[in-house]
Amino acid sequence: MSATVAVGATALNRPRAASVDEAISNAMTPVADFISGIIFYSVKIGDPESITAGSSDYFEFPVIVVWLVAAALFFTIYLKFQNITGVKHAVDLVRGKYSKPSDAGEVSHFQALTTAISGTVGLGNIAGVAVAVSIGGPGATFWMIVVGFLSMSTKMAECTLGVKYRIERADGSVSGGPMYYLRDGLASLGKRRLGRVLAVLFALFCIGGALGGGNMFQANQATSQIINVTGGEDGPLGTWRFVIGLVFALAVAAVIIGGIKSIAKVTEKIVPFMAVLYIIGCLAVIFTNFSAIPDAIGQIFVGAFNPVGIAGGVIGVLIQGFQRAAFSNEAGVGSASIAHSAVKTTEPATEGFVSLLEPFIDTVVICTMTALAIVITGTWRDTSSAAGVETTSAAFATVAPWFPILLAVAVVLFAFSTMISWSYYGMKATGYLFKDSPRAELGFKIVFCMFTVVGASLSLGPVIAFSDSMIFAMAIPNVIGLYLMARIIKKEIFGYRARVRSGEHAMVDQ
Amino acid sequence: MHVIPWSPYSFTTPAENAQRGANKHEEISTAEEQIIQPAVAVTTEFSVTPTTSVVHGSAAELLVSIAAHLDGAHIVVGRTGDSRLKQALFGSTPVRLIQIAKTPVTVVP
Repeated sequence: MSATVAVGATALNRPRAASVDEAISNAMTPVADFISGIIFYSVKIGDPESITAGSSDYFEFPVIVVWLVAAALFFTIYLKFQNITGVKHAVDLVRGKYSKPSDAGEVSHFQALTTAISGTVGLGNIAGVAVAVSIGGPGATFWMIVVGFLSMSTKMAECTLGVKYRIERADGSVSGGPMYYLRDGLASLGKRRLGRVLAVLFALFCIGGALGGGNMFQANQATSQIINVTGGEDGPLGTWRFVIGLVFALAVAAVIIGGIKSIAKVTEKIVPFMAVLYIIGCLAVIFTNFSAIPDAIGQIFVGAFNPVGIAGGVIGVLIQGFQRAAFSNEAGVGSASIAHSAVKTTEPATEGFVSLLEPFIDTVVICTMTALAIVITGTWRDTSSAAGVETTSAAFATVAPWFPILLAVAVVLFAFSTMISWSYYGMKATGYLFKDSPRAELGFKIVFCMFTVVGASLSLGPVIAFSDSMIFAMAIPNVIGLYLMARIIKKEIFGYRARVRSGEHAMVDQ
Repeated sequence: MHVIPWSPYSFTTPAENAQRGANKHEEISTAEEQIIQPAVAVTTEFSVTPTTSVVHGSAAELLVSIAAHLDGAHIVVGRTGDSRLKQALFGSTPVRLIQIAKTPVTVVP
């Protein structure tokens, strides 16, 4: 990872007049590189010199990516492939077939799911995928889909626990998520001290993840796309990245500090339609270039197992696919568990089933659409600009010159809703650390808005390094907890399945 | 009976979801206080004791499904005199009721 980031960063540092942007960028880069060096500790195999020689005997294997994929694989097998067999039940739950009429007015499965999705579907789906395909080639798409399927199981595990160990306060408000299940779940296993340590670690990393992947990365890529459609670096907005960041920050501040709910409400309502519009947009790209479809599919399969000219060979492709899929759907990271745990249900496993659909929609559907658009148009081969949202934008431009503007609108809205969701996750983590102190939560919100400006000003390299490391750091305490509580999860899910079969938890007549 | 408009298929923010349980109670008690109690106060003149309820959901559908479980039910609703634009955007409960009701419906102007 460190090698690829370095390559990306040099490609990005185009000569530009010294500006505010550059000053912010110069100050942040060493910090970002330091942190990502720790989190992305890589096992190096082979001879580093061989890359320049053109062969691919050398590759780096970031331990953290293996960590996540191993967890996904473990829970897929341990929970007996619920990610395949449980999907129909998940859809029934979302359709409200098991919801009691007395639960009307509370958070439905549909609402919990869509809220969580609006937090996960962000620029990871548009820009992150572009990074994966640009560095790892078309084959990365295949591995991304594989991880998308596997990570459904991790998501199920963490969301089941999130509901089981949530805190319901006297006034009826609900708090849940890894902080609470790590603390209370592990305490129930007699590991009180370990639980507390892991919960605090998770909360700390979650604040970092909210500032990084949930904020800086989103602001950065949304800004890039705005500049992109207004004439690029030489356009009127080219040197004003931090001003765009400031506008974003003010909009976010209006919602999370100013409490202007109408903005958030409008965004929440528009985002699902944008997601559909984005998929239609990708389909338009795919069908405009329909003659290239068979070739693209060929490239994806050949590239997955026998890539040519990719650093690290098959392993290099695999890592790119794995990493960007994990970054996009956040399974094992624990973030979505915070959103899912607000649901009204008496059975924690129900939300586990519903959450299966989240990585499916995020990775298997939306990410794959982006990847197909990029592979079919071949824009991933273009190394003249930074890999990221510009690659996807170039793919969109093959349909019509105005098409990237549609993408820009989608990107801004996705980024905004993801930022709102993550500010909430970060705020809950801050609240956990400071016993729900309103002052600490306000402090976090202010810092959050400042990081929006920083994220918009930086070049992609350091932003993605920082964002990745913080988001993946959350997975360390979370996945340890998931393994330790695997038995509790299994008992919940299989106990629930038995109750569904026996008719104890039956469908409700509508 | 008062129906608070609510749909399980709306889109919400995580902060809203976390407060939902608390808000539901608040909505119900506000409705009891501001709508149901004044209405009950009127009925005391006629010495009848009404059964009241405040529920969440889609007004017309809920009224119909509750009426279907009662013998000789008759649905009586008020109207709000919405403008054409408002009706086009949000529909109106009496109009919807007339379309789907299985019992007689009276609309009080």
